[in-house]
Amino acid sequence: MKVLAIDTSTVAASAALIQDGSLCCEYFLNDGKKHSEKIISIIDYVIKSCGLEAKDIDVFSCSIGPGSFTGLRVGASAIKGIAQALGKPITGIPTLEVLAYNLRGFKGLICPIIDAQREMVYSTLFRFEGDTLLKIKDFSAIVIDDLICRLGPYDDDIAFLGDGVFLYQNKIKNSLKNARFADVGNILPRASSVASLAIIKYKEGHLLWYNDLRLDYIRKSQAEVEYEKNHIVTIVNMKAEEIDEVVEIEGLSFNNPWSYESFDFEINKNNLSRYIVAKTDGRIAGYAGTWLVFDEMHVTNIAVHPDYRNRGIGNKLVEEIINIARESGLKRITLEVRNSNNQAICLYEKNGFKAEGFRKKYYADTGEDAIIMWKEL
Amino acid sequence: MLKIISKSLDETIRIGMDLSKHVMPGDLICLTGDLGTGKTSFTKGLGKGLGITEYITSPTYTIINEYYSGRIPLYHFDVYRLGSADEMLELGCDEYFFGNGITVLEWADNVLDILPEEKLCIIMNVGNNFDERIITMKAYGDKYKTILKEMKNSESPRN
Repeated sequence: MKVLAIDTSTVAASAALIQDGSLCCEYFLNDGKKHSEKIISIIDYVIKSCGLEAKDIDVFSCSIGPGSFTGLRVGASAIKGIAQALGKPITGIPTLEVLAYNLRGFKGLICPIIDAQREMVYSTLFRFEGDTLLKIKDFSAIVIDDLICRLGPYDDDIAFLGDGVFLYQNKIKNSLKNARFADVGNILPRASSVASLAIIKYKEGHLLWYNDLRLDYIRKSQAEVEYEKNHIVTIVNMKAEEIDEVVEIEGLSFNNPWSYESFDFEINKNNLSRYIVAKTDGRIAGYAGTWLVFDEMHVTNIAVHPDYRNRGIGNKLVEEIINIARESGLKRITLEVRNSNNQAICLYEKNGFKAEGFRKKYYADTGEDAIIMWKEL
Repeated sequence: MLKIISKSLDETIRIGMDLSKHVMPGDLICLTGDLGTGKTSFTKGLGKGLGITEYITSPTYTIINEYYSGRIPLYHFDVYRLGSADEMLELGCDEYFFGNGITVLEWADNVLDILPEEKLCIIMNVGNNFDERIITMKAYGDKYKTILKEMKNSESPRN
């Protein structure tokens, strides 16, 4: 079987031809994005170098993103055009898998990062189990600092590759002791990896006709930015009539949710408590509860409705409780967070909280430790 | 803010050339103004100043034209035909905004939601007579404020 594959998802363009399980020719060009001018002649060169003609190819393949929008479109158009003309099937391979496949056999974790601009990268965490590529965690589009923070808890070596490495290598190196970086030959996506994965897809029967191939750009949380502009989030003190909505969010967020009665007590009877809610679209999107005890603030709970997560609302709530503590002349803020709740830990760290201790087996449901965090004001 | 009166098309081109002396890769320039107020002429001047040898035309139908013959690449957008900011994202606009060239965006109002905070906005209005144009430049962000300061200082006496 003969597979011709290309990759144009980053600044480099490449084409490769695998015939009966062996790589016959691979052409890799990294001279600045001019894919539209070069990719057809590169494909032509690769096929001819193997003594073949385009009609001899059984399957065509390209990477389908994420990556450079323009690059991806050029590559997909080229492959679709050729496949349509010749009546041959095609298969599309996700770019992050292509990158991970460059490091086949690596024992630790593999973290491809593709530049998504605005300090963001497209990323997924992989691991090889034998020859099979396993997806450990899909980060989609993520701010690089958040990604580094989210990778903090992993002890294994993490190999980074992709064009994001050119931008963030030092930052990663300084923050993660277990970070490794792919060598120069493997750092960008390679068409030979696309071809290898295309053969696996072929064996699994995942072939498409030219008009069924879809690119997967991965929309970054630009939606988040837009959302903030179009949907104003206001933070106000929580009122008694809002308890029902808050109890619902509590139930959607925690294994051992507080009851209506608990919130009722907090709002109506407890003089030390201060509860705030984030409102948007006329709904409660999230809330935060605190106790003001002497010169300290104790955060009791913070949660955001699942419909409104990943929109910076949690961050707004944290910022607001910090403001409240400052305005009330308090000296420090403390909270407990589940050991496994890395996303929350990252959010608190970003706002200046530091882990100062543990409460062993604090959470009855899983027996997990709580991390005690403090912020000095 | 910088307000410049242009008495003619040639002068609008010259103002574009003036601006070209102060721009750097990664800069974003948004042009707003009715049809015929000189947005494309202004861009021609900017391109000429950058040393672009190709003929610069309005990308109304192509949406983006890219020019590489100058000292810095020029990405010229006309987003008049785009239905929403979403379509702009689908184009992969961030690759241009944060790329190695200057981005000039005509009809920027259509996609304002998704533009980076920092940018130079240029508003073109018809002045007191048929040929006169009032060109108002507003800087958002320090680097663009510096550009306007430099332009003010180096402004050659006209007329």
